[in-house]
Formats: sequence, structure tokens, C-alpha cells
Amino acid sequence: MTSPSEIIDMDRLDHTRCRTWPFLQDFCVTCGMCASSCPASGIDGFDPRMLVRMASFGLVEDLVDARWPWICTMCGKCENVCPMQIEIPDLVRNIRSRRDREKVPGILHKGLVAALETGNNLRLPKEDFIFIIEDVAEEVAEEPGFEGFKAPIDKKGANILTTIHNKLVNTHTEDLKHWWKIFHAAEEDWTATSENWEGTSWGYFTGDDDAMKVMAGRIVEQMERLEVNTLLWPE
Amino acid sequence: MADKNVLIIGGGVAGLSAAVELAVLGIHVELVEKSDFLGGHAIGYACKAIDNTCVKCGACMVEEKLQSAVSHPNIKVLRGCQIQDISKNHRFSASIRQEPLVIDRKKCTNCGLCLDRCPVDRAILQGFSKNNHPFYAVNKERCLYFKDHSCTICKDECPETAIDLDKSASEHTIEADAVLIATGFQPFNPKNKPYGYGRFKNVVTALELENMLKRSGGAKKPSDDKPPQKVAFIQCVGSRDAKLNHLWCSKVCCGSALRMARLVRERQPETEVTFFYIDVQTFGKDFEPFYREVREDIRMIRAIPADIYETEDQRLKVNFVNHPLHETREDIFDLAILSVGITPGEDIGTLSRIFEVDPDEFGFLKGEHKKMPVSRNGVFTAGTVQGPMSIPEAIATAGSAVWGIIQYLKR
Amino acid sequence: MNNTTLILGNGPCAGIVAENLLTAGAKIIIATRDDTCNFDGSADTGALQIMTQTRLISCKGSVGNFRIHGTQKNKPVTIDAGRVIISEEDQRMPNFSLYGLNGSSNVITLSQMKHLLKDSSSEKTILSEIKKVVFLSGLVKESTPIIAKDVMLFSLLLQKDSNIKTYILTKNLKVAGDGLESLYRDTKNAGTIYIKFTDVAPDIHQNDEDPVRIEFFDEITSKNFRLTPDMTVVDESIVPSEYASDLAKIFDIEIDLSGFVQADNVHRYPVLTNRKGIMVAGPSRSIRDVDDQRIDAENAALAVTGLSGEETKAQKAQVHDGQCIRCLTCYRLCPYHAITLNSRVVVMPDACERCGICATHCPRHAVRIADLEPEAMSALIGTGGGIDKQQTFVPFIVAFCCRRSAARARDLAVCMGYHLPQGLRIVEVPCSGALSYDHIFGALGNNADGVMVLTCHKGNCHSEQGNIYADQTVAQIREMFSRIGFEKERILIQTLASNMGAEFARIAGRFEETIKELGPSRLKKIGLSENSTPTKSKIGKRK
Repeated sequence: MTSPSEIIDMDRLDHTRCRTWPFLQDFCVTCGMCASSCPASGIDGFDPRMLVRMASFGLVEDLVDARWPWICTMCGKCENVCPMQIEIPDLVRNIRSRRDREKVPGILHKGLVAALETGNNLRLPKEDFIFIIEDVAEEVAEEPGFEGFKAPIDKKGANILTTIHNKLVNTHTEDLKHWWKIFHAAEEDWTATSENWEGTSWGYFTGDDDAMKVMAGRIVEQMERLEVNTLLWPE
Repeated sequence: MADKNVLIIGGGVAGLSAAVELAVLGIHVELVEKSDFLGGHAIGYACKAIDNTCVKCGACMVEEKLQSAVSHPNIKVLRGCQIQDISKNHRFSASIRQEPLVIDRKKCTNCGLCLDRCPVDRAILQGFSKNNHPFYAVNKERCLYFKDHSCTICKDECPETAIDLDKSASEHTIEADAVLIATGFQPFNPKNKPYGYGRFKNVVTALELENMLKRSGGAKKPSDDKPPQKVAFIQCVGSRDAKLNHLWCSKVCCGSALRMARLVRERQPETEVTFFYIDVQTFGKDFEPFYREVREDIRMIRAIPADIYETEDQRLKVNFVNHPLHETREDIFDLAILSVGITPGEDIGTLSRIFEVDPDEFGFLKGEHKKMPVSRNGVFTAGTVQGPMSIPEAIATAGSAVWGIIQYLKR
Repeated sequence: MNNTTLILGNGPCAGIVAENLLTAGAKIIIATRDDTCNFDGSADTGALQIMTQTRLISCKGSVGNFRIHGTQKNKPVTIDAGRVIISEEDQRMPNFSLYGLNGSSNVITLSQMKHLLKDSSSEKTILSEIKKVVFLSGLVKESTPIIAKDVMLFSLLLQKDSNIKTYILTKNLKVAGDGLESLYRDTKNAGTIYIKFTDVAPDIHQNDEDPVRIEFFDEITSKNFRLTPDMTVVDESIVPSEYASDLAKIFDIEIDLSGFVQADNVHRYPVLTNRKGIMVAGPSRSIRDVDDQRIDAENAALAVTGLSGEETKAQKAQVHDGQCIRCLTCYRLCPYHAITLNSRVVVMPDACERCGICATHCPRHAVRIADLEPEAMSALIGTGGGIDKQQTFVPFIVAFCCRRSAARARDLAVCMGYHLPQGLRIVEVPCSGALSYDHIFGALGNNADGVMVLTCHKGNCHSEQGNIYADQTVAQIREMFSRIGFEKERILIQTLASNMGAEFARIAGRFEETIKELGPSRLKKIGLSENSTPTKSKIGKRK
């Protein structure tokens, strides 16, 4: 990362490095609307306008090493207001994708690796998963109005297949009950899956498109296997 | 050339200018104007002189051209008119539909009672010049009578019985030897921009500010008619925008906004002004000293705000990046002025079809005229129908068109 | 009445003027200082006369009858013309010194770059050595769309055709011209990098033939950068040619602050000057791009055509020989150069615009405009004000209003429904330059309690100076009044424009309040009856 007083020699920069990127970053007129709309503007001294320009200059390493591209919430307000239609969130993801995976902040990549290897971020074995689901379902069945409630798993031909966020079978199991009750009241024909049930896809956050493909592919596979046409993916 | 007749479509500054030039040369002019008032948009612009010194905005020129046009015997004006179709043998034959001019110009004394008594906001409109006669007009889009015949107050109360709400439309045919299209522009409607225009009372366009300054001499908050303490100008709204396919600079908004900013500061020195911009465009012949002075007078921020929210007391929370810092700020303003761009008029499609003139890539009608001095088919353009331009430039294009018309008429 | 038009200039704009006039069947003379004339249009013999190596020296006469003296090939020559159109080219001055640079093989101007980009083998060699070009534009003085267009176009060509990295350093990017926003986008597509500065400028260092070194802080990335271009291109300022300022003096035409041959006054738009019959088109009058120059040329041609039938029936200024002492004050002051000196001082009626400045300044009352004389105006003032039924004092306020501005503003105020003072009497004048002490004293003598002089804004006066003289006159009167103990607040001068209805009402209302507080004018009690006409005052310049 360049320090504030350092003078960057523009000769060393290859502006064409990023010209092949399809995010239209070169068309920026520095109007600043992105920076004005960004909730994270100013953190680390960054804003989306600065990011776009650095990409345009070819200052890729600085961007990859910087913390701010990981602070971006991907809310998309910047792209929404940009008069030149620059795809800033996609640009951010692209920058994220260029970091070595062991430098990806926090547990994002670790969780992703776990999910790729085991089908879920927690490395939770199948039997344990089923046990937790059935356990919570029993609690629901004890409540008045929900007698006989069962949480379907791997039900073939159901109307909706739903994924499950890993925290719901970890620290926030109570939250499973809320929408299960809605399903029950609506008499919805739904199912979860015993394998590859993970609803999060941290490849989206870490800029790992290949991982995203794998995770999405697995869900599609489940839908094909169980012959379900509608996916509920509450992530 | 006294036997020649020219049809001018559009009664804004370009149309009026051209009419006067032609009339002075002995040519008869029929000028058709869509609305009830002559003068286009520019007649509603205020004089922005500061320190008793003219700033060359050209607004007074519109008044002058209007005055000359209404008093010249060779010029006949038809208001409320739109062209339906045109055909050409040796001459042009234009069929015109005239919407009923509900207030009779011969009887009306401009007393203003109709406006006073009208129960609906903005159902009666006021002109901007003593040469807008009658000074009042019924706005059929808001008038109750035209909705459901439920109100006839203006007609009943008019002391001169000058109002006839049942007047019908009429058709006219105008024969002409040449036609000038001077139908002007449409200001960009910023309702889809995240600034709350149309929802928040204190967000207005620059044209609305011009009108306000002209009518009352000062800037006021629409919410309570009081002078604003803090004013924000937001530039380039609807211009320089690839998303809208408005890939042009509207040229005149920087000049207009900065002059209005200084005018407001002079009239209401307690008011603070902030100017949000991308690039300041040059205007006038003495731009350098003006720019220097204005930078000391107002706060200029080189970034465009992303959104505006309203407070409980109808003030405006404006979010912007505090260039050259990277952080965003939320400042509270009393009045936000959007410098909306000059966009093609709403009738371009119709005109293009009727006259077989192709609009350019952005929808403006340059016509043949921009490329050739004399139009082969007798159709000419002038003014902002060609694209963004200032009042003096519109007058110049009118002169240019008139020259072309004269050569065409002579051949 | 001479129907020939003299066109001065040898560039594209002059050419379009000539072409247009010839097409319209006019007779023209093209005169240029250059050795050859670039105009190559054909014309019937007799319609076109070309004069090369011609320099002008003086011009006498007025519209329809200009007699111009000059030299052709250094021999004296006389040209008679009915109209003159000045359309000389402008010039581009390099801005090296603005950026602290000296021209060299690797620091060139835009014009030199334009030359390089034309197809020529030697130029291609130079360009093939270069990998990086920096354009410096509008970093000290603001640029213009014409320069910006050149900068962007050249950058685009260098990027696309020669694969050269280009940078454009500017403050405000000028895109207020047709097609410039699209061009901006095209240059970005081709790879041009823009660095825009707001308050701080880049540091530019030059060391002999070493590459220029530019260091700057980029506001958007908050980082410092260094550029060492192989070629630096500096922009140019577009200024009037030196000959243009000579012409301005020869023809007695106002110039603007930059020296262009046309006052910066909306009344002159687009191609008029303060002298009837003399027009100025294209680069002589302002910074104009190619399309605008053509528009100017056509307007000039139109102005020539339109000048014939424009006679007003109003009375023009006249010199009464017996009084004239040839002090030449009127000659010097006339903004329209409508006064000529032969054996006698004579006003040329065609050029006279009735501003009245000559009459108000003549020390002997020799030059007069009959209907603008104080006595004539007094008759218009009549009487007014007084005490109303409720025994309230209604001030009689006389407002001398310039007809182009204040008189119309008053009409607009009425239209808009603003209330105006009951005792307000409007007296229209063609120009406030026509107002002398006697006019104002005359109003007071007619029992006015207060007098307003409402003129056009500075820079908006059709005669350029009328409002300034009025301002001086009123200032002197107020100064005099305060010395003799008469309330100077009874005289007000204010500038207005024709579209300022609200302001007119406010000014009139506030003035009425002032006069109400001051009460009726004491001059009323000095025995001047309602119907007496004031004798010519002995105060002031007149006898």
C-alpha cells in the first residue's frame, strides 16, 4: 500500500491492466454520486469513487491489499445512482477475488472451504443435522395449534425446497420455528434436504465465483433429485 | 416580398426573434404557439443583475423580442395552437388545431379576480410579461370544470364576462411559403431522481427558482413562503447521464445557477448557498472575475449529492461526500434547487413525422440547417429545438434561420 | 445611400459573409492586409471587389455613407461603403508562461500538435518516438469548449492511431459544446486519463531538454503522482488579433474586457456594434467555434439586408449653429459616433439614437433633442399628489424611467398586481443619458415631492454610458442638496431591467415611505404655482 507522502510514478502504472474489466470503470466522470450515497464512505479513507479511479489507473495491488473493499456491504446504492452505469459492486467482488485465499478476512474463506468439503459451513455431520431438525420440530409440535407438526426432510415432489442458514442449526435454532409455523399455517408443502442444505454462499462475499457455482450447483442438484420446482433461498 | 408568408411554430425567444426579423423585412408571419402565453420558458426568467450590473443572462432580451413581436403589424399570433399535419405543393399547407382560449383577450382587463377566486391551486396560470395578454389562463389539467363541470366560479365572477368555459376547439389551415420550427425544449423532470422532487415541497427546479425570483424578487421556501437560510444548488440533474442516454452537457445551467446564487446572496445576505457540481462551465465574456468572486461568496463542493430526505419541519437532509475528503456528510438545507437539463421537446416525435426531419441521436432537431445554409425543402429550425443553448445563442440561430428563409423565398 | 458592403477579413468567417452576400445579390468589397485573398467564390463582375495588402486608417460618415481611408500596397486609397462587416480572425497565444514552461522540442502548443497530427512523414517520425503525452489545459486560467475540443480530439487521435498514453490535466473540464460529452466518453474509451484539479494545481518542472516533470496530488485517490511525459502540450488563449484593436479605434467601436470588437452588452447581440451600419462577426467579436461563426456570418448578412427601411419618426438631435462653440464635447461623448465635424458640427440623423447624452453635456445648449428638452418633459410631468380625503399626505413622485427597462418594469408590476404609489407619475425617456439637472429641478419645480431616476443596469444601457452619466448627475445633485440643506433623500437613482416588476414595486413603495416621512417638499412653498413652468436654472453647467 502506498503511504500518503509517497509519490507514485505513473510510468510504472499500466492503465490498460483493468481496461479489459467489464465494469465500465473507465467511464467515470468523478461526479461523486457513488461516494455521496455510500454508507461506508470515509472508512479507511476510502470511498467508491476512489476505488473506481484506482482501478482505472491500474493500482490493483493497493486495492487488493486494502481493507475497505471488504468493508463494502455490497448494498448497491452506488451503482443505482451512477450516471455512467459503472458496476461498482461487481468491481469490488473482482478485487476481493484477487486476494490470496489465506488473506481473506475472518472466517469467510474457512467457512467456505468447510462448505465445499462437507456441504455446510460448520462441518456438521448429516446425522447431527437431522437430529437437530427433528428435535426442534418436536418442540413446535408441543405448542397449541401445531399438534402433529413434522419438518419434512428430503420429501420428493414437494412444492418448495428451502435451504437453511447454518446459524439456525447452531446458535439460533429457535429462529427455525418462526417460518416453520408460517409454513404450517399456510399449509405449504415444503421440504429441507439432509445434504447440501447450507443456505449461505460465502463465495459471493469473497469474490469466489467458482465456489459460488459449486454451491448453487448442489442446490440445483437437490431440486432435481427431489423433483421440486420452487426454491426458497432466504439468505 | 410582401406577398410571402412564413409559418413559425413556437412562440419562445427564438420564434419571436425570427418573427420580428422577418416582419421588419416586409414578410408576413403567422406564429403559432401551443400554450396561452408567448415567451416560452425564458420569459419566466428573472433579471440576475448583481451590484446594479448586468450579468448578460439575456432574460430582458426575451421581453424585448416579445414586445416587438406583439406590436408589429406583419405578425399574426395564434395561441393555444398545435400543428396536426402539413402538406406541400408549391406552398405549405398546415392544419392547425386551436384549443379553446377560454379567456377572451379583447374583454379581459387583467384584473386577476379569477385567480383570486379560483379554489384549486394552479388551475389559473399567470403570465410573466405585460405582453402576455390576457395575463391569466385556465389550466385545463387542473381546472375542475374540465374534469367534471363542477365549478364555474371564474366565469361567474369575471366582471367583464370574459371567460367562456364551453368554448370549443377550432381548426385552421395556414398557408405558408416556408416554415420555421422553434418549439423549444422540455426541462428534465427529476421526479425519478432520489431528491424527492414532487414529494418534498422545498425541492424545486432551477426554472421554478427563476419564476420565483421573477415574481417576487427573492427566493422563498414553498412550504411556508419564508426566505431560506441555507440553499443547495445541485447541478447536472438529467444531463451528462449515460443511464438516461442524456450524453450531453446542457451548457447554460452552471451560468444560470451561479448567477442566481449570487443574486440570492445579494438580496438575502443571511442566506448561505452551497453549490454541488462536477465541472463548472464557462459562460459570458467575463467569466474569470465572476468565477473568482462567486467562489468567495458561496461554498462550492465538487461532488453531487446522492439523496435527499425530509425532516419533520420540511427541511431537507442532503447526503453528499465532502470532497476532497472521503467521508459523507448530511447537511440540512431549507431549499434545494435542481439544475435540470435541457431535453428534447415533447413534440419532437410529431414534428419529426410531420416534417420528415430526423432527430439526432439525442432527439434534438437540427434539421438540415446546421449543415446547409439554405434548406432545400423550406423547413428551418431555430432555438433550443436544436439542442441546449443560451438566450443570446437562440436569438443568433433565429437570425441565421431567417437569413436561410429569405434566400429560400427568393429562389 | 451606398449599397456596397465592405468586408474586413480573410478567414473562413469573412468568406461565409462574402458568399452569403453575393448569393443575395449584394455588392461587396473584401479588404485584407494579407497578400492574397482566400475567398474563392465566383461572382458577377461588378458585384465583388477584392483589395489585398490593404490597411485601414480612418473612417468618416455614417450608415449608408461611410468614407474610409487606408493604404493599399502603401499607397493611399479611399473606400466608399454603405455598411462595414468586421470579421477578422482571432489568434491563439501559447500559455507556456502560465504553466512556468518554455517552448521546446518536447513542450509544444496545441496548434503545433495539430500540425503534428496531420498526415506527414516527418511528423509521423516524431510521434513514433513518443509514448506519453500530457495536455495541460485550463489549470491557471479557465479554458473554453473550443480549446477543450481540440485537447480531447488530439488525445483521442494519439490514443487510437498511435497508441500513445495521454493524460489531460485540467481544472474544470469544458463540455458545454455540441458533441463534447460524447467526445469525452470516446477519449475515455480509448484510454485517456483525466486528472481534474479543484483548488490546488500540479507542480510543473522543466529542466532544459529533460522531460518535463509534473507532480501532483490527485484529489480523488488522495495520492501523489508523478508524470514525466515525452511530450507536453500546453493550451492556448484565444484572443483578438492586434489589427482588431486597431479597427476598433479606427471605427470608434466599443471593445470588451478582452479586446474583442464588440461591447459585452446584450443589446449588441449578435453582430451589432454601437455604430449603426458597422457589424462584427465571428472571431472578431468573441471566442466562437466554427458553427457559431457561420451563424454570425449569416446574422451579419441579415443585418445588412435589414438596415434599409428602419426609419423612426422621432426627432433626432440637432445642432443650433449660433450657440455651438465647437468644444467637441458632443463629438467625443456620442456613443454612436453620430456626430461629424466638417466645417460645422453636424448630427447624422441615421446614426442618432436619441440617447440625449450630447444635449445634457453641451455647455451652450447648442445640441438639442426637441421633445426631450426640460420644458417639453415638464409638460409631461403635470402635477400630482397632494392631500387626500383622509387628510393624508400623498407624495407626488416623478419617476424618470428609461423606456427600455424601468418603464416596462412598471408595466409588469401593474400586470402582476403589485400596488404602486398613488402619486407616482412615470415619465419615459429613451435613455437616462437624456436627463440633466434641469429635468430633475423641473420635476421639483412642478411640485414633485420626490424624484426617482430609474435606469438600465450597468453594462445593459443601449448607449453604454447613458446610465453612468445619469448616475453622476444624480450624485452631484444629491451632494449639492446636502450642502444647501435640502433633503438629498428626495432624489433616488436605481437600476432596473424590463422584467423586474416585483423590484419596481418594492423600490417605488420604499421611496414613497421615505418621502412620506420627509413630508411635502419645501420647494412647493416657494411660490411656484401649479401651472408655472420652471425658468432655466442658473445652477449647474448651463447658462
